[in-house]
Amino acid sequence: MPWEWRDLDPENVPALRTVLASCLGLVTVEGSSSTVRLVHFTLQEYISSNPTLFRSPHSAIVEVCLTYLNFGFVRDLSPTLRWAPSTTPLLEYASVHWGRHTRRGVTENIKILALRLLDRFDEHISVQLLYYYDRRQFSDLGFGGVQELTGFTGLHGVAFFGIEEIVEAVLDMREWDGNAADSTGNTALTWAARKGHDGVVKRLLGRGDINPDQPALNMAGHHSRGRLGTDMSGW
Amino acid sequence: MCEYCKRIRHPHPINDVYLPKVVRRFLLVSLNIDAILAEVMIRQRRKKLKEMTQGNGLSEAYTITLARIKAQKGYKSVLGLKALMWVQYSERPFQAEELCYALGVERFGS
Repeated sequence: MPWEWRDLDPENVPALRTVLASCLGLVTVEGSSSTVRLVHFTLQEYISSNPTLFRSPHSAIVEVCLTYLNFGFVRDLSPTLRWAPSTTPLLEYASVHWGRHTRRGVTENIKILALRLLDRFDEHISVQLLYYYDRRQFSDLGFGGVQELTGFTGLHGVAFFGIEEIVEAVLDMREWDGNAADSTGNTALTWAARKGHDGVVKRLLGRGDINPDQPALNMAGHHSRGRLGTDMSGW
Repeated sequence: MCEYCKRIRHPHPINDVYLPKVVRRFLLVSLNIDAILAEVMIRQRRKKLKEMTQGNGLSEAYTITLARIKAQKGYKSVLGLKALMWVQYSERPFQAEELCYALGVERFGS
């Protein structure tokens, strides 16, 4: 491998004071919640209308999220934890949002990082954090009160997030049982259908060895026609 | 302990990191003043001031401030731009600590 998998260097984490000083007043922290915001809402509009200001910002964000999730000390965390430990401040955000940022653009680096994460996804803490986040967002989606998500492999993950560009690579990564269900009863195909990722559904069905007639899929179809449809495709 | 900064025990200087609303408003005004002062002629300054009081001058202030961010020495310019990028494009607002850690991750392959 041409690069080493480095761990986070704590000395490389800037102090908040330094960050804010570098932004010359354009970024501020709200007193009561310590939430970071732009100084004024018009700045957001200004940046949006100047797309050349940042080169592929979403790719930059995903690369950081995926680098973080691939750090040794993160991979070593117990996959049964329900909350991100306080020692890993970026873990929750990275776990829950990397997929969504990734759908806006896949680079070669992102592909490498994503495949490394998805290779042993069912043993990664981010799966549990994602699951709890998803449950909070769509609490009536019918997880059947499952307390812990197990058996959620990289194939389930790529289908859940709907990252079309890497589906084939994930499928080729190993001999998957394409019809395997996780502890919620969902297969890769039903996750892709539930979340409204048509392109991924087509690619999965194109493989031929995935059974399109799955009970959970009927339920997914029911939901996507119902009021939850748009919520789900929001992923 | 300060009313605004729960973690910091010192008194609250105006340039401290946790800013109450009134200070943020002050910052916005000072950005505008910077933009006005960037003009050297009285006539141009008057014109700028007029633009800003009519509400379409903020974008000028942003352009000038961004140029100043980019002109900072060393890593500060990179840090400032990166921080702006995260705050603008993140899926939800960040907590201060999250932002610092995001900025502390060396991108893979870099």
